[in-house]
Amino acid sequence: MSWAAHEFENYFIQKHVDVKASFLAVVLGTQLPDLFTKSFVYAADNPAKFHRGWPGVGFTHSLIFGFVFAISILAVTKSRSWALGVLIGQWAHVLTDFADSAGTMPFFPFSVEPVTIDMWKHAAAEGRYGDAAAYYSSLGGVWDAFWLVMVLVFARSTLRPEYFRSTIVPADPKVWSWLHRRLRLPEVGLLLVYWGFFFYGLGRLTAWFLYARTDADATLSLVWGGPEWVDGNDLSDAGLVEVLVRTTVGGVLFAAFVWLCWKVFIKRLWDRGVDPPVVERGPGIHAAFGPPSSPRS
Amino acid sequence: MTSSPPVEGLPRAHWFVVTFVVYVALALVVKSTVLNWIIGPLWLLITLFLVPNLFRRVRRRVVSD
Repeated sequence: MSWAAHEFENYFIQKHVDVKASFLAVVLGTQLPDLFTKSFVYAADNPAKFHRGWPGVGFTHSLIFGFVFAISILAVTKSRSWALGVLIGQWAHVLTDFADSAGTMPFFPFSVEPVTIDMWKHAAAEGRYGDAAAYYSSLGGVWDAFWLVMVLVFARSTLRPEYFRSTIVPADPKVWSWLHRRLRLPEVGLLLVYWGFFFYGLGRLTAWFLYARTDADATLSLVWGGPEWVDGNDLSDAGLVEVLVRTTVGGVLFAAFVWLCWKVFIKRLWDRGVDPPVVERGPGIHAAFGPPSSPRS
Repeated sequence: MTSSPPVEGLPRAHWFVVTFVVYVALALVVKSTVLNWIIGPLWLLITLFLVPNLFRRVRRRVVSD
């Protein structure tokens, strides 16, 4: 599993969706796969299997989970910004987590084959603290640092107060003004909430890394598939070809399923959906990313 | 292009450094209390807005009494 990467991703994603998705929805999406399950993972007999496998709650780390959640949001709230934000955030989480040894099942239920690049070991079997020590002694910690650098290099502007004012609030005026009114938070309070997720990512990265080097006294193991001192938690012993075939079949079936849903009912939901005044969506992929976008200068 | 007005009441940069150091130090001692999805993201709001505001309010009340 990835740790602080899920906090940093939010800002990187926001940079690319601009006003077309709500930041808070992206945050909800990136946290969604672990939101209701993480506390049970460490208590499970086989944490990796429970967290990422089937049977288990591995379906939370599949693309269809975010898809269903996003459609439900669109149907209930009519908010395109929230539906898109949750979808993109959740999909980012799924794609980020396939780097560990347990992997994810992106095309569940069409394929229950875990997809993984085995970059570091899923170490939930060691308990929360052991997991943290293993993660921040392996390339997992590097993965977090990579996302931090990505934000600082390519999405630095998202951390500026002007960005919050010109993009984050206009992309989701209802929720931010609700927070302003209901919780009596002035602009500075709302800005601190916005910055809070970046702060949390940086704070947990630093704290857990220091914990791994001090209390846990864990040896750094910056090799592919490390750390060597933790038992692996691979969920499948299928060979590369087998994984490729199953995943490809699952991916094709998933794409067909999404297309069918779009034709049957999602397009209708999307057409009756609403956007904040500042948003102007382009065709195809430009409905979510890049230009043609808002009329803002 | 005109620059937008500054955010009113925004703490100076060194306060962010102070609260970060406090957060990390506290996290090393009481991990599960601080390193969680509720306290973590709200830490800045709590330490740089809510607590100072509460402190100012209490001080105002004490002075007026």
